[in-house]
Amino acid sequence: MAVTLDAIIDAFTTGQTLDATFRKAGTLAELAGWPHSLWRVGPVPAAGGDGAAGSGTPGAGGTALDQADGSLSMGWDDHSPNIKILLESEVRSTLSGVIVVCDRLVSVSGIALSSTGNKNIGSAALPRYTDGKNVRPFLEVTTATATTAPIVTLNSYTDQDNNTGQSGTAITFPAAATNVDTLIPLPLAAADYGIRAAATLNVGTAGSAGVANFILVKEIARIIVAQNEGRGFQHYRETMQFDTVEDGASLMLYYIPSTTTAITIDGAIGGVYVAP
Amino acid sequence: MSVATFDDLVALPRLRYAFWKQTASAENPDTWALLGNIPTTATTPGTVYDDVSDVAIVPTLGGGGEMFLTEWDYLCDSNAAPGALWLVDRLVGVSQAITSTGDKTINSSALDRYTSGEDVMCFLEISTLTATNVPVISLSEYTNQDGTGSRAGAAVTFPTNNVNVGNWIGPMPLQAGDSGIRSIQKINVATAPTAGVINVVLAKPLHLTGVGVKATPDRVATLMEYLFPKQIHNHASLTLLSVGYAGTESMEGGLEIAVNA
Repeated sequence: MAVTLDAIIDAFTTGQTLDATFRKAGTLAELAGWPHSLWRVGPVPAAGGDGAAGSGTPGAGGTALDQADGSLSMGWDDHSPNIKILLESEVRSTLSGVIVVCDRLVSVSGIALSSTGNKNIGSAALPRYTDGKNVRPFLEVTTATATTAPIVTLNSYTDQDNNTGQSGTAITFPAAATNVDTLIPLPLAAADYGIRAAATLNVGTAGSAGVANFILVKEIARIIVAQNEGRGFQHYRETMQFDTVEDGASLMLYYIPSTTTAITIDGAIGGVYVAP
Repeated sequence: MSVATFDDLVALPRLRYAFWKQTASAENPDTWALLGNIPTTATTPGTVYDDVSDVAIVPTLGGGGEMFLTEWDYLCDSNAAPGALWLVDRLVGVSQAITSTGDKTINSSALDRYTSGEDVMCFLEISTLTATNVPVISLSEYTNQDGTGSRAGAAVTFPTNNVNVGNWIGPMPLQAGDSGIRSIQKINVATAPTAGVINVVLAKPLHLTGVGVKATPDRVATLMEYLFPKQIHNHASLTLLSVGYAGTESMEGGLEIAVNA
């Protein structure tokens, strides 16, 4: 069955629904406007893991995530190979800002930020969105940095057109002591708009401490929230498109804060599944 | 009649349930609080809440019948700050004193709706004011959405030592990899207050929405806005929670439910 409004009506009247309730208590955001991950915190669902370490062998580093523990979409593959469509996201947040729903694709742990030089990533092949288009790379801080704000460059990656050896531009961390869970968006080369894999990350300036995950994510939806006021995001009505969730999806949340206070959010995402 | 198209759905007759609700005093702006009355809840194995609601007692339909929440509207009479409402279906509750530490036997009754437990959450509803110590409680043994037992979640520290009646602590943390609860066997009280009784409640969250400041009316048309009106099951015990305001608040509004009898 094609995805039509009637197909959606038929789906939820026959119980083909998907729901995931969440409550996330975030750590301290580093700086307004810098994205901050909610993957590594609970309580509902429980915190997700960091994945395997990087590797000097392309494709051998990290973990390609498939219905990973900690994701909002755990169990949704029970309904494969149906097409899963998000219809609503409901959020009540203690801070204003933007809540981002995305599919966490690959996670590579243990990128040391306390020494300079190239760090092996060798990220596993993308399990979904395999062409890499609009897939974004981030560092997710797992041990706070100290003394000096690191400066890093994604200096060897494969872009959305399968060009290898691409190099992005440098980015400076927002603080010498960048908080845990801060996300560092890694710039790509001019004209690139996606990434399939990364080989190495260069740490040009190191802190005296600091470790990060390298992650690849595909953004699905953005929900603008006002402080303390519940907000419903109407995926179809607001965007006039069906926000689909791939088989194996490991949906996570991050937010773009308006202040450095720790956030708590309650809410749910929901939708239906229809036959392909 | 089988509801298979948008036209079918909008043609269904509607029932409207008006409500006026008031919270117990909320604990802090980030604690969910019950809007209304705490229903009678037994000790282990507890109470299965069927048609226990001071929001809307829905009809019991025969085989093939369906109900959908299509709209709700509300106006808060007393809040000075924006917040949110959460409509949940209260499924099972077990009353339990928490004035001593250690594991407490819950052995909750089986769910009679959402029986897999998928996306069923646990909240701790305060039925007797806590005192002196800040309670710390976890789900120390529960059965998850796949029927796997002996699962355990992390502990939650209550927001204060004197948690008010009607507050809902949660949703409670689950073990990594879990997305719902089918039943609860034990809770663990790591730090006990000198007074306090809770209802260990299993509930299915249905819809969360925003509330503006005092006297600002709001409406959610779940069908027209989301294309996703939540199904309401026979014997639903619809319950409203509120968050965002530390004082007592009143809420006036109504629910509309489409009925395919």
